[in-house]
Amino acid sequence: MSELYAWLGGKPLFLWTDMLIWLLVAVIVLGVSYTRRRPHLLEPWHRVAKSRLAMGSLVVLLVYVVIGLLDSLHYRPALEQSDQSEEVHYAVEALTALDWMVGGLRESGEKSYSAPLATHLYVREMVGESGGEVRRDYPRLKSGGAHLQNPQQRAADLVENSIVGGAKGLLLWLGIALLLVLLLTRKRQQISPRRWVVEVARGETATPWRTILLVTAVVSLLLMAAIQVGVKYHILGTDKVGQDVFYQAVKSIRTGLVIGTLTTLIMLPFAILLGIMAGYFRGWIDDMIQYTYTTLNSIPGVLLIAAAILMIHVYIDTNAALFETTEERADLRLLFLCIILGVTSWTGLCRLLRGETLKLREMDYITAAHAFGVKNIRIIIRHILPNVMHVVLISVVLDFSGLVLAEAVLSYVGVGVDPTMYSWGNMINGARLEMAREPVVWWTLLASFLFMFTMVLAANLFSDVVREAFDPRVHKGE
Amino acid sequence: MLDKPPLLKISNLQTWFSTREGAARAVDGISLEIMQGEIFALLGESGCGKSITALSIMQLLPEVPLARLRGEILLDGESLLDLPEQKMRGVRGGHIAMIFQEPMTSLNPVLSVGDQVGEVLRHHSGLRGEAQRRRVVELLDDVGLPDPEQKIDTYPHQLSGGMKQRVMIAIALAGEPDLLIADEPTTALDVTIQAQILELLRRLQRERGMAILLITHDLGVVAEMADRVAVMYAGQLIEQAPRRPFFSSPGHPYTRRLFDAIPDAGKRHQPLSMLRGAVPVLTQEFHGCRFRNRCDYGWELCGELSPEWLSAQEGQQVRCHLFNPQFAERGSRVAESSGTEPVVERGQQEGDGSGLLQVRGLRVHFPIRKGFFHRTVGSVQAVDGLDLSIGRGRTVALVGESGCGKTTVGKAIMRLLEATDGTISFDGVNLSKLQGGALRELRSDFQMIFQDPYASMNPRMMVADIIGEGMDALLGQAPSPEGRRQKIGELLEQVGLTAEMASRYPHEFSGGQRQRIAIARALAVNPRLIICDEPTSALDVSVQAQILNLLRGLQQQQNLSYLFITHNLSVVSWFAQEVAVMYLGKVVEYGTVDEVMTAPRHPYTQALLSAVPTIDRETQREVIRLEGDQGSPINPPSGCPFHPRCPQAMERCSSELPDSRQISETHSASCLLVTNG
Amino acid sequence: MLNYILRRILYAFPILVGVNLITFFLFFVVNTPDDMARMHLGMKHVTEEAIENWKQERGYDRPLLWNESASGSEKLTETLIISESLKLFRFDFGVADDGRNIGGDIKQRMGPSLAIAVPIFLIGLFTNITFAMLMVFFRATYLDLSGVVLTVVLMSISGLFYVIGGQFVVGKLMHLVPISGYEGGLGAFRFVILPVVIGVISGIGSGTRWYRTIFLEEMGKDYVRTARAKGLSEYRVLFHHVLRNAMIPILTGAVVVLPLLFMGSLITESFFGIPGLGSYTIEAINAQDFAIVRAMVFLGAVLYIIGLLLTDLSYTLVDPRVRLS
Repeated sequence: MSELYAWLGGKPLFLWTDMLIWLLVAVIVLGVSYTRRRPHLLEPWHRVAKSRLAMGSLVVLLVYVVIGLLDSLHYRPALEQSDQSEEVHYAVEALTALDWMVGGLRESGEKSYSAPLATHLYVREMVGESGGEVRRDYPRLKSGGAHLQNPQQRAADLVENSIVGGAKGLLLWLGIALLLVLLLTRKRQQISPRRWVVEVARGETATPWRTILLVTAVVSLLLMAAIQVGVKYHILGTDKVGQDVFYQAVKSIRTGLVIGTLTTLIMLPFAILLGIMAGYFRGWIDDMIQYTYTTLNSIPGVLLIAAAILMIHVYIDTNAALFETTEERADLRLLFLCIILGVTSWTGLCRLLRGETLKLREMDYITAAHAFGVKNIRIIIRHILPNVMHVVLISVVLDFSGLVLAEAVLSYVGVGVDPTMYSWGNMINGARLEMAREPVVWWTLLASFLFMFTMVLAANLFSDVVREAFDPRVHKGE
Repeated sequence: MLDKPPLLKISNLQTWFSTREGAARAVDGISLEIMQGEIFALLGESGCGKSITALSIMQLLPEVPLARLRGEILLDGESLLDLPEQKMRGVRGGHIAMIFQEPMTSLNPVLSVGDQVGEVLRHHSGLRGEAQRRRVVELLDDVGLPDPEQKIDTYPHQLSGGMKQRVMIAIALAGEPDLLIADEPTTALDVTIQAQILELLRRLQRERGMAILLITHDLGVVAEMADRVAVMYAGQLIEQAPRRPFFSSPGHPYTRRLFDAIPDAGKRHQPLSMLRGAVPVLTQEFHGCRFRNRCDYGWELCGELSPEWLSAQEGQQVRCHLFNPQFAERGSRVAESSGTEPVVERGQQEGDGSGLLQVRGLRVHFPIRKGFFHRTVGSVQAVDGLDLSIGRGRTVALVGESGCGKTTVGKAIMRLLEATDGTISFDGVNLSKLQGGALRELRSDFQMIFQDPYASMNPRMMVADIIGEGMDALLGQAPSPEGRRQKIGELLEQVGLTAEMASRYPHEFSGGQRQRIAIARALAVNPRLIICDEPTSALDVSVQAQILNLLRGLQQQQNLSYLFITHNLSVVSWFAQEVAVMYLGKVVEYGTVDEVMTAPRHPYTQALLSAVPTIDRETQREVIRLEGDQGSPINPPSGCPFHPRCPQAMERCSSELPDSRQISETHSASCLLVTNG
Repeated sequence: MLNYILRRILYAFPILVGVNLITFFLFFVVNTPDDMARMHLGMKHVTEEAIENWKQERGYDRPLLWNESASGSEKLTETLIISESLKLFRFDFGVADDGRNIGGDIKQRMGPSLAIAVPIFLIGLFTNITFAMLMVFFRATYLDLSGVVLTVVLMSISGLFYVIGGQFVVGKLMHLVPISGYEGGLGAFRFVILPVVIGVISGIGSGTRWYRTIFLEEMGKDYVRTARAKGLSEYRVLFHHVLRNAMIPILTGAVVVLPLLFMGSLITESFFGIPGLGSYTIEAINAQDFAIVRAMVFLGAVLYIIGLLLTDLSYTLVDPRVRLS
């Protein structure tokens, strides 16, 4: 095994959140394959698939998810061997597959602030002239446009790089489009690829492929152009300690996704189990469960989170020896944050499920099952659970964006993710005073705003359509 | 009278909705005229477009995308479809008023009765303040609301269903309309309340010379109320006639089928006539007659040419090619055969009648708990001392109005509810003492069918699993998947469906088909007793006939016993052998169908029977009017529970609880007026 | 009525006990007083004696759950859990790490919190309902559609950006009002106006959308059809019939948070330097002052429970179907 790692040049690091994320991916894949074979479960998804809004935002979300997943494969790179010993040492700092792919961004550190796409630092420093003279000036950046002989060529170089990047993006998009045409026309033999392309261009297909392809085009152009330019410049500038802001914003995606999804994954079993039990069995079981969630609910969420996170901090600080890498420590804090957010947010779903179960248990088909002497556990699994799943799904999708936003606020309050972890909340927290600075440093805030806003907006738009598609009240007649 | 211009004239009205499947032709070319002061009934089964017609007149169509609203609606010569919304508001409530089916939800829950009536006065006649209040009291008094002075300040939730419908009528009358549209005004009400409301409508119409457009599915209500009738089918009118010719000789084959499908005592020994197939999908473009796929008399022409209006007799017009003089020969053949419907005399095998189920002194009280420690502060006496027995292969009907506890009886027998007291013995075994496994063993012997075919099966389960659920849970022998599938296929065929339907989901079936699946599910465990809880109440009359025929057929084949819980008395006289009439948790009269239905002895049974609207209008009957509503089972009246409403109540009735008195060997009633023997 | 309120208060007691148990678990069991002392006094060079002193100062020197050394019933009562719980129930919050009395601080800081939170709440409620009514009035038109899109966009912006953006544009670029700070009396107005405006704006997205959903749901009900059949104008249908019914969920939803207004808003107060309870909490969190955090948790729960009680009472005011029993 260790030879393999040595050969690969790194040793995989299994973080808790990574494993849970991939577990979630597995659950979703299983769920999809289960649903595919059941037309009545697929029905509401068909409604979602027909919405232009939903499919457009889904493309954006998928880009975020792919980045987040790539960022969830951690490894510790092997260190250069200094002595002759056989043993290979691995770095304390862990990297991810994403880092490996965009390595250039990570390593290009500067000394301090630099504006987006700048060639010089934003602050004056003592610069040593060739003649031994020292004066205060804006020094050239180490990697921002460092390849330019003359900073004056910057504009032309930027245009050129954007065009090259755009062209690459176009190629990527064409590739995707071609693949789509092949896959889709192959599945349905009766339609010729040519005909299909015409239909898509006119927007006549049932699934809004035109919208999907348009959004894909925009995203791939932006992405490739950003990569092309980003290798040579700091497209969103650098922060106080000279770190590339674009890289930070991209790395924060994983944090946002983890909080938005794992929180629900963690709380879901409790909410479902307790909610259904309270509604189904009623009596003292109901009283106990209601008491539990009223009590938890009565503590204002932020305060409960704050109190719990503070305690975790103290625990981690006093037991620092338990963690091998900083990532592991930060990861544990992230996991605890998810758990505590879950504890404070399961009550809503639990109450909803209790209400829904109370209604369902009076349905005739449950009575019929009782008349057959079917056991309670079987009634819950076969009759109640499948009929409350739409409530669960709607609430999971709706919660996602709220949780992403909550991360920012909690990090600001000081009870969010580990300060060493990349997150939009940490970025905002670190940069909030920069607006008051003269001259203003605005790019860190802009970057976190853009990245977070895009994801939350896409999630909100998508969840709206999902809720409408699954809400039985909207589709009573069908 | 014929010279007068019509009050309302609809010409070629088309109301289409956009759906994903295309335009749904909910109303598709309707023309009709309503005269001043007449009651015009629009009759049709669910989904035929009768309510949409009414809403089109009012221009209150639901907010779904309209595909088309064409034609002409003239009120006193003024075209309503061309009126601007501003003017239309003056028409709504002022010239045309409307009352709806659900009085429970049609009133605003947070406004007082006085507010809701007064608002109309304010809007249409500018009355305010004290004058408004006086007028509201007058109106409430006019619609028979007791204590109008006091009721004016109550909120809808404090009133019973019948009272709410009276308030709705007061709201409608407040604007002094020329036309009242009543959309199934009594469908949600009990039969004694229905009689009150119908009588009220008739009186108001007489006094005010107001016209009524009565929308209903109930031929009995039409017979009681209407001057003229129009029958609607799949978005079109197919027959129009004055009441008398309509009931003496219904013209259109569809109308005739409707008449034949109504169960009554006269048809006891023959199966009910059934309509095959289903109502056509309204999103298609129609060619020819819309009824032809279900018609027994159709020929090629019907598929090609949509029939025009043809005269039958005395102003009776029918949209059917049979009435074209060209095809007089075909027409007369039908006329002959119509009297002799496919009568298949099946010797009614009435079972040996030996006891299967014996219920003695059944009591089901639900405790009312309150407060922190859930103290019991009272109880709902849903069932309070009930005796019942059902023989093998026989049907006992349990009849009563909503809230009388009849469903609770069914559930208690099923042991779905714990009885507070009493014994239930099934084939000699006392069910009320059984627990756990012993009870489960017996469960396959008695099963249940429910009222709502949509709520009675899990929408997420395949039909095969729905039917198989009981087999898996009770029969337990774990048959091979092949054997299980075969059994399910057989069951489906037994209830008139096909074996391949096993792999479908409930939402693909119509209400009637679902009810068949529910029957198959019950049959799957080979029960001996089936408790049918209003199994046909949610169905149209033509579908009801199919289900009733099926149930009877199964009874004859398998010697099944039924406890048939219903509020529909005409079904009882066709279907049951014995009847128990329930009132407020007690059986007040018990006997064979003939005894109870033809010679009722308890005043409640008498009133109940007299309140049922009948088609046969020639036999004049006196409706015994019952005042008020059934009391509350939380605090039932002392003595005889019926005494507060009984027209023959004596002083003793309020203190003395009458015991069950034998009238004949099989007939008994619990009333002090009944003397033994 | 009085009887009912008394019973509700009785019912609230077990919940408070539960809250107290949770806070006790978090603050005294997850990390024992020893850990806390060590953290406060510096991780490395701490003597046992210093820890004991620290604990004694705060009365944390008793055992957690069971006092072996005491006698009789005092085995149970002379413990941290009992003594600390009793203090909380007496609203005796003790002293902060900097030696100030927490109860006094809370009393003093309530005012500024309310000065910000109450206007945000009232103006926000009014604005959101107005916008939602407008959207429902013009439902299924482009006005409604663009309104929906706008609310989703507004909802997708983190609250932090509203504050940062507002401070930058109004305070720094336009120099209209001071960016942060506070003073008592009428002078407060200058400092309060910006946070209030920003607070209202940041709530518009989700608030308007939520109320619109409520209104639309009411619009689909049968009684609305009845009202229209009376010939009433759309305006009257909306204001007299729909709004009255929609007020039931709206008011009862609003009443729950009413008492919590005392707690102020963490973000707004700390950004604008308002000396209210919100910034008090944040400062305590940053300084890791557990006594204050614990006091605030308990206070928050008490206020929430009062909110629940008020909700029940408000039901009886707006919904004739509900009576207290």
